[in-house]
Amino acid sequence: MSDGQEITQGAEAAAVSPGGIKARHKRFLWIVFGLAFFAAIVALVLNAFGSSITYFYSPTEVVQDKVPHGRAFRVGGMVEGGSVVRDSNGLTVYFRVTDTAETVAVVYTGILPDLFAEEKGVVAQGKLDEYGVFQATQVLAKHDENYVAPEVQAALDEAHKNRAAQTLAQ
Amino acid sequence: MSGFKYAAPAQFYPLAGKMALWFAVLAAVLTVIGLVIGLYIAPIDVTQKDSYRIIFIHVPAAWMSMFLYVVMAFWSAMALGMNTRLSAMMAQSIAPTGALMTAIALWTGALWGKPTWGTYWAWDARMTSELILLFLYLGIIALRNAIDDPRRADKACGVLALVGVVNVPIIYMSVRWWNTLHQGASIKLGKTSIDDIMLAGMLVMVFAFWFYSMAATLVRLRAIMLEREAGAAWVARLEEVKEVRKEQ
Amino acid sequence: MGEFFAMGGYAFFIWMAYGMTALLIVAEIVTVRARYQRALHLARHSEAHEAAAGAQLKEAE
Repeated sequence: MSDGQEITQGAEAAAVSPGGIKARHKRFLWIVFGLAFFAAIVALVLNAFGSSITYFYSPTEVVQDKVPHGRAFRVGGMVEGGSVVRDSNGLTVYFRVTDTAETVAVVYTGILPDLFAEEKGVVAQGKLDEYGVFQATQVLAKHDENYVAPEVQAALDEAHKNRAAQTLAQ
Repeated sequence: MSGFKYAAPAQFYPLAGKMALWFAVLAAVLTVIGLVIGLYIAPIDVTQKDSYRIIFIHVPAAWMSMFLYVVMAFWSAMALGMNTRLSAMMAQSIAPTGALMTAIALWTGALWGKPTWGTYWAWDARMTSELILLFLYLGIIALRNAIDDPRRADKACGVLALVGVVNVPIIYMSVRWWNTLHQGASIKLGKTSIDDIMLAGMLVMVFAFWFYSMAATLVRLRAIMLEREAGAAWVARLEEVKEVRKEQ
Repeated sequence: MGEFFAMGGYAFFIWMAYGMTALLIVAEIVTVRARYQRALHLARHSEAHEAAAGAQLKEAE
């Protein structure tokens, strides 16, 4: 291509898109970005409506079989007090998750989050086996919205203990 | 009636400059106080120990991400409805700061989630809708850059802003309407479930983030005013624009 | 001092959170101020301004 032809073509391109070819490329990239974000939004919204937007099912829903079949799902609730048993190999843990109405037995092999504790929130992902035991592949701790300093918590626990003792004494 | 005087860019430009300066100073002072409280004075949480301290950035950023979007939607509605130049410029100036606040909320949330829940991310209703908010902001910014004519961009961005505003109450109510990994609100009308000192630190940081967002937005607004009205008489009369003549 | 930075063992999470936030805020401050300077430059060299400047210079002659 001769210089003359290139200059003419450049001038034509500039005439069609104000700012020149570079600006047109920049604008094209922004349109691509815009479409990508729009597509991401639509995908996320449709996904939320499609699969259930609920992050986990309660033990009651599991017991009443209101859970998906054939695929993994999550069960959430509280770790039932006194239900945590660790296997002698140290890596496997058994516990029950409760919503105070029903409980589901869970077995999990792996590292538990620091905040995993009895009478605290938990969300387990996995599948229910043929014995009704939930074979978990992931266990997350769910914490509440309370933020308390240790001394304040200790004082609250003391007061609670004293009230309970008083009630028993009566 | 005198308030309407500031409806013209020419009148609001110098006021915006003064406000930006004051808000920046306030933001800096409050940030120092907030960080001292949050990182030093406030006690540990009985459950989360020190890891909860991320709350002093996460919550202010999250609140600002939602608040700024609503304000942006408001000015977009004003611009579409009343066709005033300044309303459109106000909406335009907010998007980048809103996107930043959303990004900070998501990033700090992930770093808080790992040591507490055990995961950096979960596709629950709260986190997914906040991520959608980020994409909405970025989409509005992309649209703004893709459309040459400012007035056409105003309309397109305005429509997207208004369509997306329904997401904000969804983000807020998500933890109540659906089962989520994310916990509920610690600050509710009339009741808080957070230690007094921790609450104080959080509120100081909320105001710090608010003043910062205002300052950044107002500086951007002034830039936008100059960009869009570069040839106008009021711009030519500005001291900082006239200055150049001395150098010539 | 070491205890402060250790943050009870959560140093990585806390400082990554606070650090990235500081970085992003600084990036926005720098970016928006640069945008304002560019806009000022645009305004100073716009056609109307230069025409007005030209007219003033002519008057001075």
